[in-house]
Amino acid sequence: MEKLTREQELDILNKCLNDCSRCDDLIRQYHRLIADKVRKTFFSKKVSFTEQDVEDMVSETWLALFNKNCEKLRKYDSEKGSLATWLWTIACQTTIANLRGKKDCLHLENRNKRNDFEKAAELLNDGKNTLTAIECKETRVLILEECLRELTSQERLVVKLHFFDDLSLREIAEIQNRDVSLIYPPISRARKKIRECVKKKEQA
Amino acid sequence: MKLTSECRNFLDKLTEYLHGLLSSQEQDEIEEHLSNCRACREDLVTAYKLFKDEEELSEWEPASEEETRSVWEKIRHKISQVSEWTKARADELAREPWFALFEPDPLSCTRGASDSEPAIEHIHINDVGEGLQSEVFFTKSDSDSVRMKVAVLKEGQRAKHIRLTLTQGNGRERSCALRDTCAVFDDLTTDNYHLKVSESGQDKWDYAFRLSGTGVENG
Repeated sequence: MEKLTREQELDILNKCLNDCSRCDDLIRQYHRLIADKVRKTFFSKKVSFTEQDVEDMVSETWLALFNKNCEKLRKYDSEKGSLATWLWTIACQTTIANLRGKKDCLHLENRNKRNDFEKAAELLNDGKNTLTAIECKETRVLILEECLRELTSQERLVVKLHFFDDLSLREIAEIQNRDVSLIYPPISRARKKIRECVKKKEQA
Repeated sequence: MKLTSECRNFLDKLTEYLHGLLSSQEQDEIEEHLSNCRACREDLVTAYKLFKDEEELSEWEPASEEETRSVWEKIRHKISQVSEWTKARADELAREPWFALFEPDPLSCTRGASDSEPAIEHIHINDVGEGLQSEVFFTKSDSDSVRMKVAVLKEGQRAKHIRLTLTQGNGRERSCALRDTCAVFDDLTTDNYHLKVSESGQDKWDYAFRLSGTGVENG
């Protein structure tokens, strides 16, 4: 089916918001799109699932949208994107939140943390940083972890998104709804702070 | 590992965050948390990658009539509604047809009523099921505690052999038989509640709700 125009989307949305018993058009129009997004979220999180799991998550998504007098549905802002994008982001959020309730996060944290820090130590090496010169990998990870704590939360977040999660500066800017020119300065400051921190730790 | 309240806050506002709908304070709080929580950061990256996958928007099939009906039937009873506190003067309330259930002499409310009368913060809820019509009237007192009045009707008349049991989230239970036009539960505070209405010993109506400064949320 062809993508709806913004006006058509708003018609379907307003019909539902004005009368909760008339949300069938909204469900009919977006149900399969939401199911598809739930499946993709399961795939992205590398979780095995059944069609019953998908059905349950789709129902949870609709409930999240309709609960409290359609609070989440009413938050949709047509200036910020299409209704379909809003609905599927809620589907993704609902699935992720549900998985977090079940998953052992501590296990995940321990499993990948060391690799992440080792990779970041390599990436942060700009020729001036002596982090990679530290032979013992455990010590390197420990020092980087300590030095990251000395950054501001914004510096720490962009460093992690860039060096740990491999996002580009443009992608980080998009996530944070900031201009891309505002993303490089905290990374640059963070590199400098980490360099100084590593030196201090080596001397100590 | 248990989710922290910061994790829950992030998971609750993830969509608003990605769509740039949060206040700068809310955004700062979430980013402070993301800078320290690996699991939430990973979830953010997953959601972002799916969120920007715009090409999927090109085409999709709508659900069938049957599928739509089945989804609606599955969720409609689970949808929570919030009834917000509204203000009205006693004489205005007295004009409501349901008000006489809770105030046998509604005219007495209008005597001496004037524009300077303090408005009553109230919520009225009704529900019909299992042959009984249940009407609930909440009013706020000056000290913000809440009085709840419950009337139960059958074929338009006060139902007989009715017992009401109200259980509060802290475990406190109050139970009474419906002898007058309505039963009264006083001094309710912000909490979760569960009201059970039984007729001749048989459960007829279950009403779970949360009382808050905003209003009454069912479910």
